Amino acid sequence: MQITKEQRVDETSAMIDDIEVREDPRASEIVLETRDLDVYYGAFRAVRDVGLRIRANEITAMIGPSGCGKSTVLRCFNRMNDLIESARVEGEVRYHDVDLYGDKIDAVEVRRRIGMVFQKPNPFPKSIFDNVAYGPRVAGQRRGLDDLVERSLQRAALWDEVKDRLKDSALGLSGGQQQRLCIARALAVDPDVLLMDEPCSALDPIATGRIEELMQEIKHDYTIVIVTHNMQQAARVSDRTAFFTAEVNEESDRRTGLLVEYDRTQNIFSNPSDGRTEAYVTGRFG
Amino acid sequence: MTATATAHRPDGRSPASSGIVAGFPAPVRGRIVGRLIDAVLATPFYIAGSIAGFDSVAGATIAAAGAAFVIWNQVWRVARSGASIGQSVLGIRLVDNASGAPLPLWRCAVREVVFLLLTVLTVVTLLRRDRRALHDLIAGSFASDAIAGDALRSARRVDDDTLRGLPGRRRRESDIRALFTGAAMLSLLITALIVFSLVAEAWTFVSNVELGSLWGTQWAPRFGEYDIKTLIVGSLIVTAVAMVVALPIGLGSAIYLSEYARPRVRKVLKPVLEILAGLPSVVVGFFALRWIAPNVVQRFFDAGIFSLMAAGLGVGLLTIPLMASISEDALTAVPRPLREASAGLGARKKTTTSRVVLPAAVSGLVAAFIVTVSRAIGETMVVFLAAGGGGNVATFTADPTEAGSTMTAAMAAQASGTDAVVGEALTFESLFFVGLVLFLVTLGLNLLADRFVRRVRQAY
Amino acid sequence: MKLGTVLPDQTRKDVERRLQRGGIDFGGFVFRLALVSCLVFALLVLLVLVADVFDRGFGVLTDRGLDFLSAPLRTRADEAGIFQSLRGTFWIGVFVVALAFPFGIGAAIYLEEYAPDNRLTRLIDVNIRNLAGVPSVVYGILGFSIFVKAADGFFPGSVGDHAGKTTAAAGVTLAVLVLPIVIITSAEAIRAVPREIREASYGVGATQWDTIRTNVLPYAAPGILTGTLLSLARALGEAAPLILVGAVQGRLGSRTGFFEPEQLSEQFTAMPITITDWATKPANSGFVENTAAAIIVLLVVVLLANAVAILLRNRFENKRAGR
Ligand SMILES: Nc1ncnc2c1ncn2[C@@H]1O[C@H](COP(=O)(O)OP(=O)(O)OP(=O)(O)O)[C@@H](O)[C@H]1O
Ligand SMILES: [Mg+2]
Repeated sequence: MQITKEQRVDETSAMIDDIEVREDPRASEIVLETRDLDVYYGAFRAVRDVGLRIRANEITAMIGPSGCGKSTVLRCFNRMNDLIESARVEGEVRYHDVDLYGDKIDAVEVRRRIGMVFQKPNPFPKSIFDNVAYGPRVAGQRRGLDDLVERSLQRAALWDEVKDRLKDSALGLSGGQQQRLCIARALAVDPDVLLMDEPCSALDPIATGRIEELMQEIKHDYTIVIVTHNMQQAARVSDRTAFFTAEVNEESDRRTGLLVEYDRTQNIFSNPSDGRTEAYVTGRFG
Repeated sequence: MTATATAHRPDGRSPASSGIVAGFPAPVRGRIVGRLIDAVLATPFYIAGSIAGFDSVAGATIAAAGAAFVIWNQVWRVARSGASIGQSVLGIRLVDNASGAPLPLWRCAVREVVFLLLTVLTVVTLLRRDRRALHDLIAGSFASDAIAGDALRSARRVDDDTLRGLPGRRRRESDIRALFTGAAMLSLLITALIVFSLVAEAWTFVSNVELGSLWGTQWAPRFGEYDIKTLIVGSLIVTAVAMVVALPIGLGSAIYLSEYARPRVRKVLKPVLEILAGLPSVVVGFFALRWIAPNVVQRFFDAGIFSLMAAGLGVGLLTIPLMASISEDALTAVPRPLREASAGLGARKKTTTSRVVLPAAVSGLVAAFIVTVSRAIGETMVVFLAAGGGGNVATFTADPTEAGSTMTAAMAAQASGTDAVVGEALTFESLFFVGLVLFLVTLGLNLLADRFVRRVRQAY
Repeated sequence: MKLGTVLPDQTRKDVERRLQRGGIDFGGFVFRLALVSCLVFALLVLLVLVADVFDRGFGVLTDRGLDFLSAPLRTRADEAGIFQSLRGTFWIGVFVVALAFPFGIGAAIYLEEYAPDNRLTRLIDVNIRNLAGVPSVVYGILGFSIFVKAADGFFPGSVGDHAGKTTAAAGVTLAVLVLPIVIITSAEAIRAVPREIREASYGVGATQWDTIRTNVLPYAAPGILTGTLLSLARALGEAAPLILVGAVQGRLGSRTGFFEPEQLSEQFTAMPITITDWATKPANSGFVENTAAAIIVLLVVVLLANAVAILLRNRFENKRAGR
């Protein structure tokens, strides 16, 4: 299917407007918004023309086949892509209407407000306590760390399991515990938004269930964006879902990702408006 | 655009809890290290000035520049941004004790002068709980923990301004980056100094030497005879003998370690090479002179105690580990599938190794060979001790069983024995000429090896 | 992968032949034996070297004991000791630790963490690798024409022929000599720090320096330590540059204590220099035994540093692998 640039931009903005129209009037404020977002790795365009609006205190899921650029888009939200030398971002990413890639915006400040949990649990090779206290410490907090660590571990539903061994190495924890520790570590800096890139893919169903519960509990305080390959998970936990896919386009023979449909989760799974979405969520594709 | 976050606020960030208006005191250790960094930054001026002599015009100029730098760094910067480079790097911000506002220039100056005059006293007074030392009390200043201070100020507001971050922290990051950049640039300075120190005197030699004295029968700079071919042939002989040892032994060891040895065997055998690599060359030189010469060279050849061959064998011994480790790297870089493809065809280990792995690694092996040759040419002490190269005079010879000298040993020989290099007019300069030739030869070899290494990287 | 294109024709013929013949692989056995004997040869030579040195020198150490370590350089073999040589080597080590380590590790941090991928960075990179290959005797020239002259100007009162040929000049020269090695090994250690750790750190809002200081350097520390120890050992065993910098080979006049900083502005000698000097004395003068004894002392120092470095590395490699 050949789509010209103009057509497609129209499509995207039309999609946003659609959602806007169907929005209930009590909808919370927009925390993150992308406009015509393109991300390149060197000359390769990994995703194109993403338009998304992520609302406060909701869980937004990003789904789609492997390589369609979900992680890439997610990493734009807290400028993690800055760490990849070849990565280049075009278009806009707005956070509370501030352009995140604007002049003089400090990635460190951005990441203090928009935390991240990664696919593979990645605790520091330090003690459990030091892992959780790390963020507040580098942010300059000098007192009240004990309380803060306890509170963060409680929020991440890990406190009871580790309260007697806070000084032990975090690497001694199980995979599920490590991932909850990483969540506690992210919560300790009191972020506004929490980005989670397939946080459960390395975990067993029980550990996954705990993290899903956790997400429901904390969503009243945070805005959460989660990338997942698990369709049931997206359906269970999220309020809105963005479906991405990758297609061969005119300019290169590699597949470029794009946002196909973005809507309330219910609509995506029961009544998708795009055939590609339907094929994917019903398992006939990807 | 402003939004206030709704989430809970962790305690401990409110300024009230610190009890001090201007924030948390900076840790004493950081303040000392910060001072140290500032001092280190100023030392090049001091060293350069004292070398030039402070009473000379050049020295006085350097001293003035140094003073200007210190004032800029430790007074002007502090007044402007709250921290000298050292303080900035250690996360210290100097503020007015009462208001927490930046300190005016003159009070920064007073503070530094008091510190310079009464250093010991100020250090003692650091014992106060708010860490305000004598110079702080006099200048009305407070050295605050800038990072803790950042936490006090960064509220959970989101707007253009807060997302820009605090200038202090940004400056800190760029100061740190600048320090590390400086450290890396030092390597360029070293190369420049090497080239500079070689070229000037070598040029004097080349432009003044009598061409006839460059071709003769011996290298005897103290007598005005500069037969450079004596040294070059000496270097070639030593290197050739060394490679006869290092090439097969090093390569064989590498093949065994990378293709055959099981991890546990490897863990025992590898350190043998590493210890060999750690032997100082004087030790090998002694061994070559006192053991290899009588027990190997003199047993099989009609040779004196000093011989190029004994030296070459010693150099070979010394360079085995180098040959082995670079070759091993090259061999392990050969991708697994290639080996598996061969093994999958039913080839024996030996066949796989010699027909598949070695050809695939050939660029890396060539690089290993070149680097080892370069190292052998550059080896000094073994030749100095075992080839008789320590003497002042080397007579031309192409016979490995005779005594001789190499470029390296000739340089060492010339600098030793007497306290200053004396002799004919150009004796001193000839040292630099040989050094330059040596430098260029090894540089060329190293660059060549680099080419081959890069080819390996491109291939896989 | 198409096998036919990867394997040379020769190989396939060889394989076919082997399959037809069957039986024991005699050629393979010989090949393997040859390879093992390469390593065994290296081990044997090492053993012979150590045995020879101990055979000659151990008597001196047992007979004279502390006297050998605390006596100054003298012209009579049975009175001569290595006090000043040990002292010089100690101070050279101090210079290497104080100069080469911080600047080397700093440069490595720059190259791995900060440097943009541009021409200047590539130039620095190539330059460092070439510096590592410059013969040590050339560094001696650098020391002689730059650092000795600098020391001459820097230390007031050092005059005459010896001017500037000081411990300080020697220390700086050897620090510069091992700087590239420190940079290369440290950079390797830093490069091995996993990406996940960096990402985790940046992800909670750490700055670049926070990340380096609290995560990258602690993780790379064993590797850096190994590299720095190896380069320290290398510096302590170097003789050639010291000869050019003007190390005293005969007698060394003034005799002061071991740790006094005045050492820095005075003439010096060092263990490898003394070994060189004594090794070339006539065979029956008693100095050969002294040389061997001095070598034992130097080997203890140098090989200890090496062994600690190797052990450290193996231990941490195991620890990482076991995780
Ligand atoms: N660092 C990188 N350098 C170059 N290309 C990259 C890089 N990271 C990702 N890509 C490419 O960008 C595209 C999108 O990758 P991305 O990781 O965002 O996909 P994804 O949707 O998260 O996939 P998955 O579900 O497998 O995690 C892929 O084609 C990938 O190969
Ligand atoms: Mg992904």
